[in-house]
Amino acid sequence: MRLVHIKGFTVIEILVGVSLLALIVIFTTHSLTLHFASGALVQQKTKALYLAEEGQEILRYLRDEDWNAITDLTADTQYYFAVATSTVATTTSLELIDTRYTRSFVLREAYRDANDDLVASTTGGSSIDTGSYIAEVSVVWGANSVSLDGLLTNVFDI
Amino acid sequence: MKVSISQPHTKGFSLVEMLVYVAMLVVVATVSVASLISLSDSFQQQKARQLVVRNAVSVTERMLTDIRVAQDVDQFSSTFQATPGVLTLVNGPTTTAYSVVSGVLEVSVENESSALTDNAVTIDEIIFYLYDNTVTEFVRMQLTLSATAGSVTYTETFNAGAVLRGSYE
Repeated sequence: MRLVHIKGFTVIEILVGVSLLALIVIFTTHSLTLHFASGALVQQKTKALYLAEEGQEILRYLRDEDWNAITDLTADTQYYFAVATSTVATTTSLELIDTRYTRSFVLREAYRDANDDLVASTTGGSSIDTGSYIAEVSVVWGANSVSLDGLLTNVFDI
Repeated sequence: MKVSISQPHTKGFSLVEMLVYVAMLVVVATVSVASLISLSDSFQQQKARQLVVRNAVSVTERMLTDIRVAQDVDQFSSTFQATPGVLTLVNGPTTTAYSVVSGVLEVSVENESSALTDNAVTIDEIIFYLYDNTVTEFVRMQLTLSATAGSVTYTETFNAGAVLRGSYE
């Protein structure tokens, strides 16, 4: 009469079973965690893009008020917005929104070719358009950032 | 029948084996239950967050579009710098007003009201700011929404603004 090793599981079998289960749980949890993280990132980017868009609009508003306020700024230098309840301005001191999002902008010289089309500064025969700037509004939080470019033109020819 | 003295050893589990099994079971069960609980929380958080973002985007896009095409702001029918704010935009003969009625953002076009947010989210705060430099007008808004799923409440604030293209003088 030998019932040896026919019924039940060995330690090895249990180990393999448990490891498989653990692997499945780990992979499932990991992919769900990634899913949740991307959901959080979507929310943060949505918020940051609206802030950047608002920054572009603030620059247009300041442009409309006085083009000299734009030309007084130095190109390729980082500036921030000073947003009050009834006035907006540009400043060199950091703007921190909701303790997390830093919004800044940089003005770049706009280069045009013989056809008045915007081109890269490295393009041969291009010249600086003194009536325009390319505005780059950036919002940075943690290791993430979004950036929106827009063209600012002296529409009222001041 | 003679019973072999070695037979009991081949049946069942030894104490050490049992200890190993139970220990492994405890570890696996603890990890599984802990991750299931945190997953359930994350699921609710995700659900609430999606509701907030979806509603914020649809409201903000609608309002930014209306602000951009507007010619003027009716300041007497608007509430600025306070919550709940009211924004009344004038575009030719059409008047469009945004206001919050018991936590739901409503738009009223020519006195015809319709809800812009669904009942699953609450508008906690909406503040409008008006900027006027005599050449053009700029409207900024700050919108705080919250949604609840299960035991999790998610709240987020969105800022957006646009220049009234119709206000150029």
